[in-house]
Amino acid sequence: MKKFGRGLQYISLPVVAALLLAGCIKDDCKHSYKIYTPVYKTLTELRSEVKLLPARPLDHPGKIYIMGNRVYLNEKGKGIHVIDNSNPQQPRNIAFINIPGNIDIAMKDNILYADMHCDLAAFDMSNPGAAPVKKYLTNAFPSQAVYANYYTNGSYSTNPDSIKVIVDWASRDTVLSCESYSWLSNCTSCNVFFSPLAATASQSAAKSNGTAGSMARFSTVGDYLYALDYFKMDVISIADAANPLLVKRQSLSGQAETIYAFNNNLFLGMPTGMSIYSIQDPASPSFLSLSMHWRNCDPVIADDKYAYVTIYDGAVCGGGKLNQLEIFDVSVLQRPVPVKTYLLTNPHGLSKDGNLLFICDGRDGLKIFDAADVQNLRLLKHIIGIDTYDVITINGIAWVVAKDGLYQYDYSNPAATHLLSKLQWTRPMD
Amino acid sequence: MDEANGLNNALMKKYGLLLILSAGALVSVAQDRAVSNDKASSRWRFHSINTAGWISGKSGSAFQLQTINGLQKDRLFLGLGIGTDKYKYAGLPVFVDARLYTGQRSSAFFLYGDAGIHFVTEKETTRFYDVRYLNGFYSDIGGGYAISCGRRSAVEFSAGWTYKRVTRRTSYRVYTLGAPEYEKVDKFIYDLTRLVVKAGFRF
Repeated sequence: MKKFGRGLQYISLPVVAALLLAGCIKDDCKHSYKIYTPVYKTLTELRSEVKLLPARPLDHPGKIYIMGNRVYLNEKGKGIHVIDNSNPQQPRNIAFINIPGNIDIAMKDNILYADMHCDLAAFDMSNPGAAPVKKYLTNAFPSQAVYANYYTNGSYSTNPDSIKVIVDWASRDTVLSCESYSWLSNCTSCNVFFSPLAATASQSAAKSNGTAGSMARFSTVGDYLYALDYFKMDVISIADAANPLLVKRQSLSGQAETIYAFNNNLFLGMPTGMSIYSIQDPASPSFLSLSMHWRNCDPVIADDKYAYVTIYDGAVCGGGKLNQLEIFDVSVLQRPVPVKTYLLTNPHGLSKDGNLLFICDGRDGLKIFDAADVQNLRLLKHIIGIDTYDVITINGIAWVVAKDGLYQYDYSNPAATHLLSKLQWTRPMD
Repeated sequence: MDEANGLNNALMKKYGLLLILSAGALVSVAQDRAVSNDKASSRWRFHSINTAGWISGKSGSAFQLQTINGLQKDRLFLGLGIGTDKYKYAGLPVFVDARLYTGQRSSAFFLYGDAGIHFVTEKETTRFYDVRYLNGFYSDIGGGYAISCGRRSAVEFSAGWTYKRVTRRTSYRVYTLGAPEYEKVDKFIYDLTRLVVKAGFRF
């Protein structure tokens, strides 16, 4: 007992020591991050970098455009890969057009239109071994040069020497104590805006002008190119294909990400909904309706009676958590009526060929539905094992842009859809 | 902040040195009184030390459990331990443990030191950016007293400092109108020095 009592005295020592040493406790925090500052170039400097180069590995792919036997594949912010698809089982990467800041592609006849930061460039692709620039439409997308663009006397500058765009970011490491870390040092909205460029992919236009995916910002219909520029839509006359002329900058009912043309109507995918414009007067689109939904990314396509909107969660589009297909009855374009919603995994681009509805369901692969009855979509084929992003379907061949490559599938027999070829990216898509 | 760090380090060193010197004195006194002919203690023997503790720091406090298993010969114990540490950012420290007892008797003062890795188990999901936690260094030093309660069993009480580093890494893509996107990465490096008191059973 005496021994135990002495033990108790001893065990009190650690407790006393603990109390004495309580001043030696501290939670220290350091905040380590990079400070980014923009690197500017003038449009004149950028134009000097536009050139045709030999084919190079496919990297950081973006939007896709198909014209005849050629596939044009954007490399985000860098340019366009030209792929000869005469033999779908063995596509050949034949050239690369270096176009700084390029995201979108559209074509009419042999003229390829590509954005280059705030410029629109028109290339003559009659001979893919040359691809000369026929014209620059200066400052066609002023929202893309928002930091060094001046709106004076009712118009934006068209002097390529005076317009600067951000071409890169210089970074330097910084370490601060967390106490001095403030909201301002970390916020994404301080001098930064979420760009429609980020929500990339492609879509469809009149077949005579080539075909884009469902997430494109450019659409050519007849003699006009419709190009989205954040809250505006440029209406560009391409009656003379090699000489595009800006006809109108139309204000939109919100920020638009994707455009799809069908039957003299434009269907715009917006973070907050689907907007429909009539192009009965192609030089002056007129607003018909806006269908609202939760804030999400949402490409849209349409047919004679229905519009199909895939909604997926993405921080770029406001961070909503929905992942679903919404079908609207657009028999009366002024009053789209929601018909049915299907829950999906992470649906992105989509395409329709007759009654077949193709949906890129992100990591859940490609899904081919029989959409003859929109109330009861029937899954005909589910291709798993690829992380899909966008799809174009033409005459029994589906081009699928996936995280790891460009796939071509033969769907002439939908239930027996099979792979024809794959072009591998050197780096997976973001 | 650097001044504060310097002061903290100086205090740590000062008190650490005092603790070591005091323990050293205790060891020499105890050695004089130790029974040196205990043959059992001259062989490596398995021991398991299982403790419950309380961690207290500037950000609050947390309950702790640890199990340390190893071998003891004479006054030296070497073992491997694993435990819980829910202080600020929860994790599982995995560490090597060394402790020195003041004599061959079961009741004795002891010093201990742990060093290892704190594996973060904290999970965080956000809508707008990715969050990852990076594992970091873990240590625990202190001293205590073991009260014999059997031939090779004892109840142990101890107090010490415990340190862990946790790095919280957040990242997101920055999309700037008309400019290339880039990934913004922020690292918040936490160096957490806490006080810990433990009680447990050694067998």
